[in-house]
Amino acid sequence: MDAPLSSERAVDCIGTLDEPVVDTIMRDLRSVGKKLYYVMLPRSRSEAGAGLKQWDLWGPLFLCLILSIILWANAPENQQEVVFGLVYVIVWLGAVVVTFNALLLGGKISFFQSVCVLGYCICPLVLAAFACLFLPSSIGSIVKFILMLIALHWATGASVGFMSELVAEDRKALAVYPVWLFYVAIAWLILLN
Amino acid sequence: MKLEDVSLDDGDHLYDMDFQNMTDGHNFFSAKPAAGLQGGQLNGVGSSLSASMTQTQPSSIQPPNGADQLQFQTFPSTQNGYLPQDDELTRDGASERGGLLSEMDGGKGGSLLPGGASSGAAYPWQVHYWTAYFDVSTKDVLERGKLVLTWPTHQRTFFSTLISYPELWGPTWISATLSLAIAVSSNWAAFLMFVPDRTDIHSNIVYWTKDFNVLWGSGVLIFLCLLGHPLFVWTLMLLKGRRIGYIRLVSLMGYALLPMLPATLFCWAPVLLSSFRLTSTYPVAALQWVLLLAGCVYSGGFLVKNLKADLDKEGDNTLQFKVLGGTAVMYVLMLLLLKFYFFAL
Repeated sequence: MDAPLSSERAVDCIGTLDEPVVDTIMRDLRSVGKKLYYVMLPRSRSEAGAGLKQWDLWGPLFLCLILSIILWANAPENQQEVVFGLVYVIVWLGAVVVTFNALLLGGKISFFQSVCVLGYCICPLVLAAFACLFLPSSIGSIVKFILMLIALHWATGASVGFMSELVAEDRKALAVYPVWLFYVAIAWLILLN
Repeated sequence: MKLEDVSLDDGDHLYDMDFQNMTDGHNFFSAKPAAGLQGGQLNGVGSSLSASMTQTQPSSIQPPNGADQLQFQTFPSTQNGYLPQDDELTRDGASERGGLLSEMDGGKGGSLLPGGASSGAAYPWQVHYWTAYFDVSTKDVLERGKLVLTWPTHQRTFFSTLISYPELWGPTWISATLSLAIAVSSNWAAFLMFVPDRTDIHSNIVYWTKDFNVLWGSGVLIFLCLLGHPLFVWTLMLLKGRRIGYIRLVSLMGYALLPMLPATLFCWAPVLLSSFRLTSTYPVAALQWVLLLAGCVYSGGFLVKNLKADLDKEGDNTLQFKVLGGTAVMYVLMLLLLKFYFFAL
């Protein structure tokens, strides 16, 4: 089972007590940034997410938070907290359900690593949502729609490589379809803005 | 030679199995069951049963290539694989083995794990209890989907496509897709309705408030249908003293929801007519009614057809009426909710 980020330093965990807090935080932040960069590259598709073996959940949490804030900012007054909460529910519950699906289909996967990959692959959608903030609503819909399609394709492509290698050949599509559905749901949430 | 009735698992079993109909004419078993086969503990329906029989009577087996007696080339890849030639498998035409009334709902005992692995008792809160219900391949799912979508054209029953375990991949993801489809289509229809109305600055806000409630609402509706209708049928049968597989019914219901998917996905299309100001709202509503009604009738027909064959054997007309009545009520409610809440004009 692939280790979470923190346990790789189990040997020198005494050592990190002495270093400045900034160093500890920057190490984690750099690792999150490296993973994000890795997800955005097309290389992650062919390598089946090998760069994400050291899983951590900070990245998905940050992305989820950013997405919630973007959608919250654009929501009408009475809907704001609903939107914020709904994004969290869909992202985390969705990632858990999709991971369970892969597990039940016979995938040999660490649960948290799968959630980590699915969470990181939301990144293109978050970027698209951010870009949509600055689009005026007059050209609005068509451009947003196309942008979301590109982001959806990107996100799915990044995570499909990882998810499809988990299960047997004859049921790859069964593992990949829920991933696609998950990202479609998130894209739809963003598009509704 | 007949196998004795065997119990499915170690102790806490719901029902006894009758394997007589499995072995006659079954193309999995190329030999008669051996005398040495232990009744009382069944290690998996497919490969391991045949494997043990092959080992005890090697002389009557003609393996296809002669090289390896354990190469089961006629087996589908999964325990739940689709059996296109189900008519050969049963003696009296009705699919006893896969039917509703002769139950194989499995999962309670660890000895029914796919591949015959005996890993001890499995409980519903453990992941490997549910693994057996997801043991399908893409091809099987597509075949079952085709079976549902073309049900008036053939006589095959849904239950005959299940070898040992009912399948749950199809039901869960068809239901999830359907919930999302209803929410998306509903919002898209509402959006199209409001686009022409540029005089009302509050229209966008009204459109927006519908969407998240719609997602929750459609999710609740679909999963209530998925889980509630099987519960209804299961309870009715229980009241008559027969225990049948709940998961099996859920599996059937999940696939029966498949025709609703195209019906709801295109319910926004008639609204386009009104946005071009070509017609008033009445033809739009009529078109939506037609679409939804077609979806519900097609879906309900599949459900009833598959339940009827097995309910007929009970010989109890009131039971059939109750089941039919319950199904009809559920579909009418679903139709009304869909039209007046999700696709209201």
